[in-house]
Amino acid sequence: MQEFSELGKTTSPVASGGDVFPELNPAPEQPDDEFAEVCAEDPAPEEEEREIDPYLVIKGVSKVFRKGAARLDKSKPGIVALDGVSLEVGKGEIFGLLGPNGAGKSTLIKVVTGLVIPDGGSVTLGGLDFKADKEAFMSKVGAQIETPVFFNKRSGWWNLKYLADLQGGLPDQRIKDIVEIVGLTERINSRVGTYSMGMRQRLGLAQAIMNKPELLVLDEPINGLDPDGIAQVRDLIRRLRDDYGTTVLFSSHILNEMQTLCDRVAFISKGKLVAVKTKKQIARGLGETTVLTVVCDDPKRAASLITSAYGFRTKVQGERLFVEVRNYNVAKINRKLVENGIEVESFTVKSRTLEEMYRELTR
Amino acid sequence: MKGFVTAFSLESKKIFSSKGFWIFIVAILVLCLMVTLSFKMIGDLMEGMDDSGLTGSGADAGQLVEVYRQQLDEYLQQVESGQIKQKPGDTTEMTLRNSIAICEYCIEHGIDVNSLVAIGSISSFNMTSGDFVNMMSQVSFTFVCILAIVISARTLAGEIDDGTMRMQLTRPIKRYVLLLAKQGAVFVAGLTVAVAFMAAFMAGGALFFEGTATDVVLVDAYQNVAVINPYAAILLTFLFFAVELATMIQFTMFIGSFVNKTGALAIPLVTYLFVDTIALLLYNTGLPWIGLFTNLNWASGLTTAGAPVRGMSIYTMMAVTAVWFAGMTAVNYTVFEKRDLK
Repeated sequence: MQEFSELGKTTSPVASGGDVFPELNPAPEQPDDEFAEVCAEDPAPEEEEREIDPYLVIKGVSKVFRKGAARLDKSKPGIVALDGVSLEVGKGEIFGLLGPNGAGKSTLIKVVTGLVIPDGGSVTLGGLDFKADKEAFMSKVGAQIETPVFFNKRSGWWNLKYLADLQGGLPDQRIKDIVEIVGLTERINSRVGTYSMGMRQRLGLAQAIMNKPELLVLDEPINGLDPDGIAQVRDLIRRLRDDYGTTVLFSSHILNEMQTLCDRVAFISKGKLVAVKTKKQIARGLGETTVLTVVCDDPKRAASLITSAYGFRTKVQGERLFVEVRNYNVAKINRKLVENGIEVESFTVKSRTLEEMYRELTR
Repeated sequence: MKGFVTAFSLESKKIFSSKGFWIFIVAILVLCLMVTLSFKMIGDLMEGMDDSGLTGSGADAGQLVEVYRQQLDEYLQQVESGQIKQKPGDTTEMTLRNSIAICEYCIEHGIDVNSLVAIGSISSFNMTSGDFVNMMSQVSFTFVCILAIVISARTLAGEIDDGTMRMQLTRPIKRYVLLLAKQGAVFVAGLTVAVAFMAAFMAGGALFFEGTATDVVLVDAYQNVAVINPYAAILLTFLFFAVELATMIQFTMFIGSFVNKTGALAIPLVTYLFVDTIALLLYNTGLPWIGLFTNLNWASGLTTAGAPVRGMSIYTMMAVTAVWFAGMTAVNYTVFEKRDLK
């Protein structure tokens, strides 16, 4: 597999820390430690409470999908895809949409990109209303919707050139640079019909970023990508945000990706916005509930001790005792057990996963 | 405006750079060549036989007009006495009245009635170059319309079904501008092909056929008669074709607004190819005049038989077509503007 080995080299400017739009911004050279920075456990506390400067504003967007003639009659029942969703995404924010299949993530993204006409509500970008001026709105937006579909009988290059011309034209050199960034240089002149799913995703990403959008909308951008590809996309998104202040609206099923990449995550379920959580809130939420597994000589006594002292839920299974700890220093629990003469053989702490949080919120 | 120009040129490029488009054109040319050859062969076989003229009888206008008048009187008597019930598709009366008018026109202007042909016909199998261009235009225009149907179906319903439309709609271009550009590109491509064909046929006619072109007689439902130069008649045919082309593009996209790409291709193609069968079915319903296709062949409104529906003229055909066109355009643009692309 040629493309696979090619990926392994990670020679793309993104992976090697190059600039996304070199000809626009010749001296960027950002440090390559964003990952560590973003994952840092304790950023300044005020950062969390900071007011976001709303850039993309979605207000009360509703959409009901109806079939056939029912489309003309808004009172007829249909499938409710979005039910009064309101969101504000700040400039330069990486905003994630999380929700189960059919929750309305894709519909919301399609409303923002003008593919689905909402029944009610408005979408504005930096004060520009979509309905009032689609051209001005969309000239600031780059979008990749689901698995991108291109003209299969034409080459990747033809497709990019076609889409670039449709939005007013771009210099060939810029398109070439973008192709290199997404790592498709060697196959760009082959017919898209011969591309693998991952290559289509890369081409889709290329067409989304080639116009240097202010808002990048990505619907499941890492579906079908190999681990190197995922890492490249992650780096690319960060770099676009850090170097160009690009705002990113991004949906994925891959929870880890959300957790590492997004500044804030919106949880959507059954067409409704359930919660919006910042990265910090998610991290804290995950820290809030801890499952403690204690192996000791008398789990039943330990259980009653813990329940009476702290009120935590416990469950005994043979030698093991499971405790659901909320906001409490587990070391103190250990001390308490030992002080009461219980022989603790092992003491395991497991944080709640994002998956569990996701299930709770979108239930 | 700038958006339209860009989208229009891109769509045109897309059409002209598609392999299928050129294969189709070569196929049309081969077909025309075969039709030409068969007519040339029949013409050679019939050398010396007199099959010429509007009537094929060789009789002069004075004699003919008497015969037609007598036939018309008999026919009208039968209608009056109830022996004949005039159906919507019965054009006997119109044919006789128009024939009489043409004969009278010929007598008045001293023209030999056998030197004229109706629009869209040829004077004889011994074709002149004008006849050749005339006939080839008819044949090729039909196929150019079919080509336009195929491209239209692919351009709208096809791109929506494939998903390639999604990419185009996320560009900063208004939906109606994109649709207009797509329709315009198919229309201009069709016209370009038709003009290229006509140029080729004119060259071919001059090379392979002899003789001067035959004048064309036009007659409307009110027995107004005009005789025009054959090349003017070809131009008129071309104008009618342009209307037919635009209407077929709109019709295909109209169907495509409601069905998937297979239906958007199949329904207009079948309707277009079997228009006469459908017209026959419609003639006896009592409402044939509302049909789009029965009223799209404007040239028939200028022949002796007149409009395919009794009581209608080319002018009413134009009006019905215009109503259809406006209605379909309104539906197409409204549906496309409100359409959700999943």
